[in-house]
Amino acid sequence: MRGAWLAPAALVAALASAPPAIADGDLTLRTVYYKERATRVEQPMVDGRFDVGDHGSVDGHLLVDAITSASVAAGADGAGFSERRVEGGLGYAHTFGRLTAGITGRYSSEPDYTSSFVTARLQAELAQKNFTLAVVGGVGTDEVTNAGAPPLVPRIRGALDAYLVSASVTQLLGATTLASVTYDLSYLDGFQQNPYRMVVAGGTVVGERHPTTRLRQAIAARVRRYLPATSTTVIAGYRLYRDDWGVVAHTPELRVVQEAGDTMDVALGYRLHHQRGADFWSESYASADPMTQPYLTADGKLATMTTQALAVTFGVTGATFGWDDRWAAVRGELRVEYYLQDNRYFGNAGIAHAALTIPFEY
Amino acid sequence: MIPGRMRRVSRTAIVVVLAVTVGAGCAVVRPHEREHLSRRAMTADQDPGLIRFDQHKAGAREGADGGTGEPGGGCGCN
Repeated sequence: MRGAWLAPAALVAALASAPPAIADGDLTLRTVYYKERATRVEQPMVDGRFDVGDHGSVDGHLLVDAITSASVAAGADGAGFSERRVEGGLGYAHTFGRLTAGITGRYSSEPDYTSSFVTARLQAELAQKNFTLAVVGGVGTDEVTNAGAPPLVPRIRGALDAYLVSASVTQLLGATTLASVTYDLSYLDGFQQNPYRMVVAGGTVVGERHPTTRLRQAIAARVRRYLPATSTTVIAGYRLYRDDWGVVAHTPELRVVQEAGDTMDVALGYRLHHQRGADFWSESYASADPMTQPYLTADGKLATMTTQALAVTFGVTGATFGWDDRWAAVRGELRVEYYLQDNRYFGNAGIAHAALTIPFEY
Repeated sequence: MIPGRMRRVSRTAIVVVLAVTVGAGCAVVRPHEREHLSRRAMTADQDPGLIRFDQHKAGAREGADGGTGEPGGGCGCN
């Protein structure tokens, strides 16, 4: 894992000695530690963005997911396992006056799952930049196997195609308030069960059977308001989700960001998620016969549940320490989150982030 | 395959998006009045890596996804 930091560190060193600027960008190094009852994840990542010419920008990311788990819910065959997932993404956006067009690709690979997705985005700034309209279209394909299963287990291979259409609007509501609404429609077609997970049904143990298509809709609204008297920003959001498997979810969220001078801030966030489970989800199934029980699942994500998350984030910039020039805007961030879930599948989780964002000019 | 409730949600979403679209321009904030709107917390208080991880975490533990304009999934834990 330490090796993953060598390339970004070398890049940071190169940026620090860069010649006088003609364009700018930023680089963020972040590492996350996630721990729940039976699963531990370490995820170092690097995100970068830089200008290209007068009207273009490139952004990209690279991350490694190192997961250690004894949980079948996480994709194992019931035994403990360790696995690495590597993901990379690259995008380019170009501005044509009020219009910005962009394309982004993402590829993820782990021993039993690969995923690729391409999205195109078109954004228009209207009404003197008081109103922004964006539309996104995307298509992706995943391949899944049970490569981690014991040798005598029959091999399973599946493919999943995914399509996304999204529209979002952002409106300034005053000198201190803005609001945005995003609507996502996605369609999945293909293998959607976990190839390792087994279901007890009618006295026998069989593999999961999920529908091969899923139509998902989500609409999310968010309002941000800055309170000059106290240098506080309040961010309130709500998402409504429905799909044709019967899952309905309500997710309100509230964050308060308190500035402490010009160089430090503290944020407190709370997120509530309540969902109704899928129509075919059950604690137990009386029959495994496809004629009477076409779908079987042991996926805890499809159960009725309530989750709550509480996060505290502390941010500080280099100016706090008297650094000057480009280093004054360097930002360090620590975040601690606790995640509570009221079903028996995953348990609660603790999450810690550390991040460093370095703006640069070149 | 699309039940009636899905159609209702689609209509609701279209109405909301159209309402906000039609309402665009009701409030005009001039460039010199945007000092507060350009503050970090008003533009992007969470960086792309944090947003991506949160979406990934929720996708691995919850049955709902979306509302971000970005594709979810992309791993076996989903």
